[in-house]
Amino acid sequence: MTEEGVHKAAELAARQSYGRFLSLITARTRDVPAAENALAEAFARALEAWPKSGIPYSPEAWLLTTARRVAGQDARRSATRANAAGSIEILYDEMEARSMSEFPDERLKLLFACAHPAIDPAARTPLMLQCVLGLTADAIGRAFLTPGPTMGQRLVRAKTRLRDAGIPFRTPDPSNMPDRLEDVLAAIYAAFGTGWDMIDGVETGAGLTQEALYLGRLVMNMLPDQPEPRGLKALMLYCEARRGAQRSSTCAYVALGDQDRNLWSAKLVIEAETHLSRATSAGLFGRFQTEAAIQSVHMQTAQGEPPNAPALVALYDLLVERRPSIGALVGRALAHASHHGSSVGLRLLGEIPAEHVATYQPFWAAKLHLLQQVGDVDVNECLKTALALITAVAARIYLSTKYGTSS
Amino acid sequence: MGAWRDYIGSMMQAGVMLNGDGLQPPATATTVKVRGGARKVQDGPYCEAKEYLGGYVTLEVDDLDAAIKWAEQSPAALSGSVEIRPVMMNATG
Repeated sequence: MTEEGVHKAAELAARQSYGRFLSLITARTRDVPAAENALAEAFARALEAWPKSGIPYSPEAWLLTTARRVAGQDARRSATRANAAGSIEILYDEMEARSMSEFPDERLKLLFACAHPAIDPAARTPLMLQCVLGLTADAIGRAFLTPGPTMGQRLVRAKTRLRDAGIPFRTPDPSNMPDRLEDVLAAIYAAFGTGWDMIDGVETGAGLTQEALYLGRLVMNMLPDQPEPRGLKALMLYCEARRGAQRSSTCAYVALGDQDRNLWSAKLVIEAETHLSRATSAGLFGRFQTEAAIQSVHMQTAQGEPPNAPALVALYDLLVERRPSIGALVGRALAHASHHGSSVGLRLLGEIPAEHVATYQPFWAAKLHLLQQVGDVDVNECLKTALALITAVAARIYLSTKYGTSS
Repeated sequence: MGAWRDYIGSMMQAGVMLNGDGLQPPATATTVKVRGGARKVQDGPYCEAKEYLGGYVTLEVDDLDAAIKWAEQSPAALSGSVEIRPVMMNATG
């Protein structure tokens, strides 16, 4: 077995399964830092053992079993009662179940524990992204427009509390659900979005997107009568439906308006529409239903036609009124721009506090687009900022080609 | 004091209360420090604050949620606040 082959196999397993491993172990021990150490140890042992023994039939199962053993031993060594119980459960799990699709409930328990009121609200979604989906503090920081080190500190505090404050890990039920559901859904959607952003990077690939879809489905099935999980499901399906149309034959980025409608998955669009109409029939407003409705408007736009601007304006106004996130504010500015003119859009962009958008790429791409539409000749600075912030290679090429600059 | 008596009574009845005490006000406090081998005894609390520790109870419950349920029933939660902390486990088990 070549060293290179071993490294590749270990890397692939890490990329595809790290988050799942981390959550499977943490769900038992409640100790994220210890689970991280156990996984690091398992990967180190793999790099040592595999060149001699060959890559195992299932590298994932090998790594998870090894990491669990390490975590179990560590937990036995430390003296707290909770950890001792955790270690016994880990050994039990190891004997009981070796398949990779195990414990959907354990991961849900962990998700809802991260959203406990005793965890700092600003740390809840990042904590879920780290300990259920295995994202790094840097990647989470990017998604939350927060510097990596700041996010890292916030996560360390939150992980300590998750381990030590006595937060229960139990199957979510209607009594503790409503308060925590929004945070849980936000984490799943953030993971989904991060998976998309890295679509041409090798960092996490599509694995994260699939994880998000899987967790979204778990939550929805657990709470079939709640409209928001269904709204999120619809939203993710709309995005998935466009996947095949987002790249040209040469892998170049294709903007939504220019995408070939024939490449959209009609099956997924129908599925999304069905979920959305069922969700909205409950008559309870929610962020994800609104965002899905916005996607629905885009998907119903015929090839070469502008989208239904009044509908988008109404939906974005509603979204911003209830939940004024930066992404929603930028989307609203673009919706108003196409309905009331570019200068209105620019004014709305200008109202967003500058410190919130300094590193938010879509803001700069939107500003660039609108400046060009009003005939502002001096778009270079804006273009530079937009390009510098973009992490997806194909989208960078698209922007620099469209606005005629090489970067 | 009826509210406190009822509260403590219900914790005893549920079998969750291990021990606990109310404390005399900070005016009765004596603070001791040892610095550089020398003992220093001061009258008064170790820090002057508007809010002070009025007492404690040790409960044995399953998790934080159970502790929160008991804390919110405390008469102290109405005017002041109740802080919950896990007890440090003995390192030797």
